[in-house]
Amino acid sequence: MTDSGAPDWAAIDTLFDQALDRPEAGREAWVRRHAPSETVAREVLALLAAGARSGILDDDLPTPTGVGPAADDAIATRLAAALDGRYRIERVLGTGGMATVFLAHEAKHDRPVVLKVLRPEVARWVGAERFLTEIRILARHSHPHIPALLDAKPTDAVLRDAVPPGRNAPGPAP
Amino acid sequence: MTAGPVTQLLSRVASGEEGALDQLFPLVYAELRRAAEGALRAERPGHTLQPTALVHEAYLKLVGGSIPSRDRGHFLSIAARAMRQILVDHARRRRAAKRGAGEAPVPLEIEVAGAEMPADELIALDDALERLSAVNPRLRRVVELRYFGGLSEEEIATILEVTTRTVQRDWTKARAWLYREVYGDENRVGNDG
Repeated sequence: MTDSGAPDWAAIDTLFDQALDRPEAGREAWVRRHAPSETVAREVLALLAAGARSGILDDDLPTPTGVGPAADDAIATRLAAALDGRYRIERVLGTGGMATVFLAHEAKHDRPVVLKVLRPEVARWVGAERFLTEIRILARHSHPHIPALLDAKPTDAVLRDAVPPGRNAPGPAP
Repeated sequence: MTAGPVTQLLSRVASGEEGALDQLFPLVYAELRRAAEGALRAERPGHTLQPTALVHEAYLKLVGGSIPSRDRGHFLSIAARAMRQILVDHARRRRAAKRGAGEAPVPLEIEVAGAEMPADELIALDDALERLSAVNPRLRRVVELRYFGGLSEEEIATILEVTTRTVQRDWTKARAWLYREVYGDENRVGNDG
């Protein structure tokens, strides 16, 4: 993708490895003498120079703050846009590993519903397919302890499905 | 807690079941995220994240008892990967908020945290790690395990089944390669200038 890694990495890697074993003084001259080509010499010298500087990897891990609320707010905002007025989000009911569950109000039928939204970062890792499988399974079942599926739709990488809340909210059956 | 879902998933990962990894990642991600949030709430502003503590805490919570060392290695690899993604996701949100892009604004409680998160550097590092992975996947793993997972060279050597010296050499190479990608060649001014 970049021009730095592409040219004959094996040759660069080998020479870089050997150069690291040489004393720092005279290293540059040694690289120029032993490089199979001018390109390899240039790449190895650039790597040696980059290795001599300091940077992000030498510091402690950067500290994220406000991770939780920021994430849920971001989902809620994008979801509100995706729902296009059909559902109004009332509040967050719960946050799990894979999804955030919202209590919402369905305008058309004037009733409360539950929205389950796959976390974007999880969607990127597992793919939306797993969530769609869950939705398909849910759609096939009708049982008092399994919430009924009303609607499901991928929207701009945010997936939702709506189920009625009430006696049997989503989660393990009692 | 008995042999929990994570322990079972780990043994399924060890037996080569592809989908098991996909199921495991969200669990580890969620636990680490919770642990990170908890740690941040409890601590005073200005502190830094201790990946080692968070990863081991998540390990105790999700795995608990003793498991085969190969499974432990898998867990730690996933945890390091999850930590990387938690931070990078956060950095991307911060950057989006700063630039007034389409995503939701980040609440300003961030400002009490003291030091500014180097969002651009972190995102550049993340992108460069993917490119590094194409050149040499093991170098990417060493960086993930050491930097994002907070593991020692000895622990990494055990997980990757190489010598500690190889881990040290891999780190030196990966670091140079990544710095070149993130900061450019020496004539360009880096972040300290």
